[in-house]
Amino acid sequence: MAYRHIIIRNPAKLSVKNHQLVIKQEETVQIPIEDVCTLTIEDPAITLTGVLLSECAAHHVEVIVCDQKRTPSALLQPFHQHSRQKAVLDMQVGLSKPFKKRVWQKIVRTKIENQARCLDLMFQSDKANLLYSISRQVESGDRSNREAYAAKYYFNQLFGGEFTRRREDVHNISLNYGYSLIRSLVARALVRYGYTPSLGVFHDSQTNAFNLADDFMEPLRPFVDLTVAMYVDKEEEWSRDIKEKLFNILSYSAFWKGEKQSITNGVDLMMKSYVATCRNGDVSMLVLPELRALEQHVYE
Amino acid sequence: MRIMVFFDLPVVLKRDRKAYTKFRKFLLNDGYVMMQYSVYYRVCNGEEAVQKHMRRLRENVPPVNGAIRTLKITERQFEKMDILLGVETPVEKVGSNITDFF
Repeated sequence: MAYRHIIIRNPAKLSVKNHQLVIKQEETVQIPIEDVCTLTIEDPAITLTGVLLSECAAHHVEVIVCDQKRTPSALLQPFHQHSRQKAVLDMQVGLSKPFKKRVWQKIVRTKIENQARCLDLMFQSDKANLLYSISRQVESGDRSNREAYAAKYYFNQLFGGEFTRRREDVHNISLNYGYSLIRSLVARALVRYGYTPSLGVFHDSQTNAFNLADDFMEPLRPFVDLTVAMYVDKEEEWSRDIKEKLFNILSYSAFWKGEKQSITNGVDLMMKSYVATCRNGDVSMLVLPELRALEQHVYE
Repeated sequence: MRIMVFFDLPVVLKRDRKAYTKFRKFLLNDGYVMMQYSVYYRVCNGEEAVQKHMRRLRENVPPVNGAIRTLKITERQFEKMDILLGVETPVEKVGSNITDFF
């Protein structure tokens, strides 16, 4: 299974030779495309070949393109690569409203629990208890919008009383950057399992092509929040180091139904479990991540 | 973890040379890197990946009189390799990291 995230942040020429991604800079390095999970193109001075793009699509590599500010601005998504595309689409369209509401309830509950764990890890255990109790109040479809209520309280505890998500400060830029990385990871997993990402469970914007990805990235957001809270200072400039820290989130461990897995692998597991959930109509089969600590996942 | 492949294949007959080229081409396409003549390696992420690539190797063994050996070694063992003559190539330095910056 693909596990590598490649980030190109210096001028380079990218091409394909023998199904290998060839990165030509001062030194030339090659990496099997088969092993690559995401390829992020950050520097403006990067040239790449058309063959590379189509090979990336064929191997489900997510190509993330960045704008001049070096924040992710576009995704290259494979088009119809799943063998049962139509069957999955039919299933997605046929999902009942109550089912989708129960899925959303579980997602929101997990998200708020992760937010509570995040506060716990930032030594605010007393505040975390309130979030735990909010998570228990989430109704089917989150009718009473506990999500927003929890989020307001949580962000103020994490980044101070005057914090809002709308301002353009270093905290928000970092959060947005981290979220967009996770979003693309989730979108990739969705496409791999044949889902059409614009048909969401809760998110239902006509202008959003990634509604379903936005649903499933919710429980992963606190991983970004915790990283930003731990490593980014309010006075700090938006820098390379912060970006590197945020990229490392993709290789952190999380607990998926008690099993320790890297986030990259786990997101795939999550989407796989969603396939089973949809087929059986049983929400308890859904595997969502649990934040316990920020640590690098290591392979033997 | 890395799989190392060492081979000796006959190149006298045209048919043998053809089989040899096909095998070498398979190695390159499957992500192996030539370390020296007839010595190739591939980075693998965990036991599952090793098994996948070993299976592919077995399926592509050329039908000739020769010798092919493989060895599975960990990243740490690979790093400890002593180079007595020659230099380490930039490709060798790329390990099995999850995130790589270039």
